[in-house]
Amino acid sequence: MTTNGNPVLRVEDLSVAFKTKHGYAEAVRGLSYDVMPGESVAIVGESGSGKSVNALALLGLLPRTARITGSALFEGEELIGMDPDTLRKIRGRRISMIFQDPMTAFNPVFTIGNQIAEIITIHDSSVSDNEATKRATDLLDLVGIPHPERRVHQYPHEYSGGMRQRAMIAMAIANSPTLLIADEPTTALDVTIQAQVMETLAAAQEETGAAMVLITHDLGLVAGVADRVQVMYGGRIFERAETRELFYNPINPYTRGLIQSIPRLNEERGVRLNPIPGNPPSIIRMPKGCAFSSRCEFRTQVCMDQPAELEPVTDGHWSRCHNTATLPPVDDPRLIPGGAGR
Amino acid sequence: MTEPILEVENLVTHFPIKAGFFRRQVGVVHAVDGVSLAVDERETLGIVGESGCGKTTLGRTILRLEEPTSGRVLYNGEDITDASNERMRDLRAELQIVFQDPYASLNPRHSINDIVAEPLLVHGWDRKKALDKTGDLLKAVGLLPEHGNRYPHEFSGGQRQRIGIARALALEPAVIILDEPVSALDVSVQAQVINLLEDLQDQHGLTYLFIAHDLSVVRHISDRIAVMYLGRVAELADRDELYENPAHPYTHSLLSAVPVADPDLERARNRIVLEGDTPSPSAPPSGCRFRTRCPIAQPLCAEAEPEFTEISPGHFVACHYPVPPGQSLVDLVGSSAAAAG
Repeated sequence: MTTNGNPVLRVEDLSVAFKTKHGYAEAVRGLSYDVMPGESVAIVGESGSGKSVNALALLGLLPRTARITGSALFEGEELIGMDPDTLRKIRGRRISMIFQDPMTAFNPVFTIGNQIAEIITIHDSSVSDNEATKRATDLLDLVGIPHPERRVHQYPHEYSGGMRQRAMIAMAIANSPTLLIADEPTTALDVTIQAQVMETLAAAQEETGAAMVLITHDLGLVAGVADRVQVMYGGRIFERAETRELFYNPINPYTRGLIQSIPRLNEERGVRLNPIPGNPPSIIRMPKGCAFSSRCEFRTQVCMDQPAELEPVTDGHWSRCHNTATLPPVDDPRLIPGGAGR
Repeated sequence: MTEPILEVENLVTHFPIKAGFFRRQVGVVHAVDGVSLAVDERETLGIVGESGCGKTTLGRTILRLEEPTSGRVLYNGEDITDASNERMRDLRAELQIVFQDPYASLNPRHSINDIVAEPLLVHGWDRKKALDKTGDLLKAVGLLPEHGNRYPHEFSGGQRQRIGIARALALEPAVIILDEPVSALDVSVQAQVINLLEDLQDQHGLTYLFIAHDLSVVRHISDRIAVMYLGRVAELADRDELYENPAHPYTHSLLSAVPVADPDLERARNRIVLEGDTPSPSAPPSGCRFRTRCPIAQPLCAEAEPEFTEISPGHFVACHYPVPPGQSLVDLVGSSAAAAG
């Protein structure tokens, strides 16, 4: 992907906090990143890392009790604090979102066709209902729904999970958005259906030329589709790099731990997993220093005392760690290109 | 060969579908439809398959948490299918289960001590002795004995799953059925629980039936693996044999669909993407159940159900046209498409 030109999305110092009885809990803490036109950026993290909250904050989908600060420029327009009517016109037209659970994302009392057509007519009142239904049929065909002319008149419960997720992709690209945000798009699906949906998503992105932010916990999905990866932990980005660089030369101790925790499909018998000890931190009780310090095998005193900054290590490769200079080189053969065999 | 510790012979579990005012039976869900397996002592047999393939029902039927429609389950040679309730209670001391959801499987109103000691008390231990044992069990799964006084909501998902494992270990079982024990956990915590399960198996000589949908995890922990599709075993083999020389087209497609965390590998792969969805287990297709999605299905596949045959020692497959060793389904699909065109 080219990195010249202006970013589609520029997030700067975004923080999101929720009010709890113990005061504000910060789910996202000072997040900054760019997404370039046509580019796929993956945001990887475990539960509670803030990866989904970040997307909901951009789109104004968080409850009013959430305290959002910082900036998010979409094609030059500020999304944070934008009035709800203007934001509604951007959502579903220029930015689309694909959610994890397609069962709750559709309204059960309207047909799939109605709901896709509504997305089209609501943003462009010159389109007639008939025309919109025809466009909906074409879109269902594009995402590989069999017999689209019949399926367009069916209700969500008549679709299987995989088909609902494809219908959601059809809806997401209905108005040719410039940015697609996919939040765990295949987590609820079986592995063979996941493969179908990821193919559909890639085709849809190609068709529209949209940039994509893929939010997931699955490093396997990321390896296949992302141009760049950002690893989140405790509400912050811990590492950011191009996909190959991140997988084959991970710098941050958390990223290394994450990659080493995954069992491999092509693994020798008797290999022992190398898990990260402990549990991810709770956003209510965030440690004073680095959020990962209590689980990190390389921690030093400074890690316990103050948070680390996200700093460039090599061109385009950033890591948040006090000890970057003294970390041992990566010696796990599984982290070397082709080292995993096959 | 020693006797297998657990044997399943032609096991069938059907659930009636009832509808209407009189709750008349209008159909049958073929959840498990003729499964035969044998598990050796201290072995881990992995069962993989997608949702609706019957893997969970199989595990539950072995423990008689569901009643089998027909077929037999043998534990150490004893037919337990018709065992009395009293006998079953004794047997459940030796056959235990760990459930998937660590949030739903622990009673929120009971302390951890109560939860872990419950099986001991049911089996007639006195309370004092049971509580001592609970402390040891919590230590064995990497928690502290003091944790026993707390309640489930105070623990993370990974810790709860450890508590579920401690409860399963309480009666020193010989066999543990693990039903998706790590699916609900974060990656970094999942690896901790897998390592714990491996250690406990070594220390206590346990036999595992490991049910999961994640093929990487199953390969990691299993000695042999059975792949299920719509209530039947499609393929059964040693773990390395299954991953290196899969014979069933369904196994091929499953393996090819799993994303791997290696960008070069992932992008160079020739993926077989199956068409359509799994048919409903209330109306399985005629002949081979996989034929409606199989990229190399032939007319015979719709007519006759394939036999479960041994194609090499210990490697069984139920397919009329198994993929020869070393060949990829992608090549076969290419050539059959060329032949058809």
